[in-house]
Amino acid sequence: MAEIVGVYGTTHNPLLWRARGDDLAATRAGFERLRVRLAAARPDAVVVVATDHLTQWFYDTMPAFLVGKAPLVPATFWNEEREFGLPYRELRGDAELGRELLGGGIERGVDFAASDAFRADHSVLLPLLYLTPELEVPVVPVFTNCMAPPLPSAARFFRVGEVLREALEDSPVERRVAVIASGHLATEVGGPRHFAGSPSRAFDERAVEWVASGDVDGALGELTYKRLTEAGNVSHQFLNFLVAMGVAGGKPALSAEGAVSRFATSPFFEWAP
Amino acid sequence: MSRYGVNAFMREVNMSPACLAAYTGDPAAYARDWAGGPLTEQERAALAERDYGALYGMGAHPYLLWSFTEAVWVPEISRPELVERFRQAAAVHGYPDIST
Ligand SMILES: [Fe+2]
Repeated sequence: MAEIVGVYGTTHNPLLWRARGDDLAATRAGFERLRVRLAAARPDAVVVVATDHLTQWFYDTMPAFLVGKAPLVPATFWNEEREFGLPYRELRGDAELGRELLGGGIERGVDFAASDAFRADHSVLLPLLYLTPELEVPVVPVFTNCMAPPLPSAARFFRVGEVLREALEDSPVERRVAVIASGHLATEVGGPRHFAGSPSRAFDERAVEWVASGDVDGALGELTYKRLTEAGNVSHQFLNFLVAMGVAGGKPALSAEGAVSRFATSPFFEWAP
Repeated sequence: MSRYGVNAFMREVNMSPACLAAYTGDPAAYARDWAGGPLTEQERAALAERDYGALYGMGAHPYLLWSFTEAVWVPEISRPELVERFRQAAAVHGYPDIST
């Protein structure tokens, strides 16, 4: 059976890639700490729970939850190279494991959409550039819709995480699997509080506390679309960490930090596998 | 109101070097001739004028709108100045409904 060997959560803020400055010391340290932990877990595959930013998935076809089960995953689009200086990379995919997640999800009532041919954006690549810089570990992206409302409920994100664990653990495929949730704390892009640091330090602190203490009920009780928009207009991608909390069975995190910088506060989370 | 059309327009310009060059070369002509989705007169006019404040107010997706705005206004206006102007233009409208 597949075995979960690590569960992590990170920012995917693409502005971090070429940013320099002393204010980023805690952010760099957060990535480095998770890189070391992930390497020690020796995964054969990594499931990245991420949100495409209207590049691959758009209003013409918007899946709520989608398993990317391709053997090759091209990553980043031209506009991301232009806007963020991000590189283009071709990641190895783990199609066999992807099929297990798809089938295992459907058996348990999570009707994932699926794709055999897609391109990933920075929400997949950026965490990997920091956590597996050689990009040698095959990836299965699980894309979530946090961009085009109406979004699935917070409870559904948590449930998807629980189902991912069950599907992995019941799978006959031999794998050591790490799960990385890729998301945001309070973040605003293209609104009145755009690029002015965290749009809500109060939300950041509260959200880190839900993760640290494993307060699933507290998080689910508060994380409505409206509440997340109040925290910042793209804060909805915090919901990807609810998937990780589901994978971790709602347990308190091993570590939970919000690294403050001139950008949105960067989340760095780790849960016991 | 066709937020879908506006978002599709911005996505195309943002993601294709050829479309970006064509649009920045002549925004009014590009917006006039664009047939990739439905647009109201008001939306087409805002796209012709690169009027990010009006587009924001009409419920264009803010993430897409910022990428698009940066692509089509920098280097005419420096990025820090554009960020400031964008914030002010958006603040007039608060947080409009962005559902399509
Ligand atoms: Fe994001």
